[in-house]
Amino acid sequence: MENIMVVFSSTDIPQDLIDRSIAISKEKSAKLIILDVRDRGMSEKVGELTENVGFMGDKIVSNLKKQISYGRCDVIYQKLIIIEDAAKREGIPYEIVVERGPFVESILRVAKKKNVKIIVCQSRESLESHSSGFEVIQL
Amino acid sequence: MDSKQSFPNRSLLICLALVILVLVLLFPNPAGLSVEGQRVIAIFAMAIVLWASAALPLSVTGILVIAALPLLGAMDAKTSYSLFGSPAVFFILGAFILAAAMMKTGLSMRLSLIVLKRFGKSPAMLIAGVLFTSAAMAFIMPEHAVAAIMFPVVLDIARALELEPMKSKYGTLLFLALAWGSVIGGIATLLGGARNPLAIALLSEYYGLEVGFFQWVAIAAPVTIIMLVVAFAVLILYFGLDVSDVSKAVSTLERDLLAQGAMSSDEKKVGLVMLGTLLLWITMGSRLGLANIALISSVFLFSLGVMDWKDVEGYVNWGVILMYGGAIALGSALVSTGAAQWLADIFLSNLLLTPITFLLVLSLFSKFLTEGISNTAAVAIILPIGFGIGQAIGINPIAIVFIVAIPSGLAFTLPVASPPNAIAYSSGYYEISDVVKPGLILNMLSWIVFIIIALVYWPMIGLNML
Repeated sequence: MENIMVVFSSTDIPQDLIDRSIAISKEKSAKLIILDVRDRGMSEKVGELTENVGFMGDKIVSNLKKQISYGRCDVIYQKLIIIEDAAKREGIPYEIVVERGPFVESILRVAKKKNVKIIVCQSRESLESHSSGFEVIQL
Repeated sequence: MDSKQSFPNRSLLICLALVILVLVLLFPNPAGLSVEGQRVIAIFAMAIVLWASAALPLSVTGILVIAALPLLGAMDAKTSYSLFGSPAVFFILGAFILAAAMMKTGLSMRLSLIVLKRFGKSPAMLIAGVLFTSAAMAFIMPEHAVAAIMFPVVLDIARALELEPMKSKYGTLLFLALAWGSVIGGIATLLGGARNPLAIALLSEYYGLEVGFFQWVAIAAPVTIIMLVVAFAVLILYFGLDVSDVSKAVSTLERDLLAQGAMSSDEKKVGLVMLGTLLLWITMGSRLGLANIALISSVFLFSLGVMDWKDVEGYVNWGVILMYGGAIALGSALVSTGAAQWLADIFLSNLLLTPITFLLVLSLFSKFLTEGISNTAAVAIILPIGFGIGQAIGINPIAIVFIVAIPSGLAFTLPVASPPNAIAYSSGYYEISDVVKPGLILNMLSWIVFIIIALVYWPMIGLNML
């Protein structure tokens, strides 16, 4: 069975990305790897700005960073449930993988580890220059 | 959004700043400028690069400035280091400790929830509530702290209403109302943003003139009031409302308020100290000194057992003293060596400035510079030159303070411009591209409002341009 991977990196998970990855997995009778690359940078960057420019203390900054991460994780989690439900409905085998780190490196690492043949992702997240051994479908 | 440059970029920018420093130092001494003045301009140019790029933390650049002034013979060490002891620096410190006490005891959260709950009658009213509550809180504490406090509250509202990030217009409205409210409220008093005390400290260093707490409010608050209405109109008209019922949000706010429990004795103590401090600042600020009142109030908080030193360390970033100490020292050196006047003469020989064009150009320049760099850095960079130019064409120095400080505080578009914008953006409910147009519209409208207030209202309360 082939492995197809759909990749998300932000709180915006477009419906067409969900639909397309489900359709390809169904057509090829492939397992769907749902990869969520968590953006740790956002809370760190806002924390640094609040600390260095706003001169807020560590307690405020740490609490703010937690709130930001929590908020973003919560939203992404809700989105993942939608894809999970769609895969279940269509009878497609799936696996959810959560990675933290640089976006492209995380995708390449998981693609290699899971022997992925096709990667479906958003157009702005260019993988073309790194693609070897797998096809990239960008929406 | 980059609060900190990556290592190669940072190193490059630091090198660039040092190269500029050396180049200005090596340049033949121009006519009309003292050798000390040339050295101060070299340090000023270096500081502009570092403050604007944030290649080093703002406070570290402050240290570098303080050390470079005596090292390069621009100012003697005793004078340079003594400027860390400016009353403005200690006023900011006292104000931060008072804000820390409000956050630690939960008083700031309680006040936010109480005010916000009253607005939850309709979707538009709730947006007005977030805008107004954020602004009102920024009257008594730093706008950055307000945004940090309000962020989880607004996040709870967005969750309760099941708003979808990137798709829900109402989600964008809520978080922009949080950011814009904090920013607009931050200009109204000396407590909303440390750039405001920095501006009056520079005024005191340059001219020996003072601006009182109430005087600041009387001059700046009308801009805040009008801008709150304008911001609300821009939000509603530009984005529209895609939610019809906010009753779930009101239930969430009520639940959050219930979770706060009954008001604790510590909250009451902090509330009383804060109230007393505000009254003293307004009624006796010029006689007793704003900084003295702030520090004595801080001591009260320790005496009442509300705060201990660990709390201060946890809530206040000591870099604030270094940044403002450095900015005040640099400003003082620019004046005492005649460098500010020399720079002003260069601008004046190339620009035909009248009081009106001075007001238009300086406020617009402050407004757009602050979109790209920290608003404190914008004040530290622009105000010394503004004083020099203003002096040459006979502008009232107190007016110059407000012409720079108010527009410098009103950054509505980019996350890097101000922590409240960055905090709101981090919610993930909108992209930067979504706020460029409404942000620019609000920037232009705020500039127009500011100009009208300066030309029409200021003379009515005795603040004349000339």
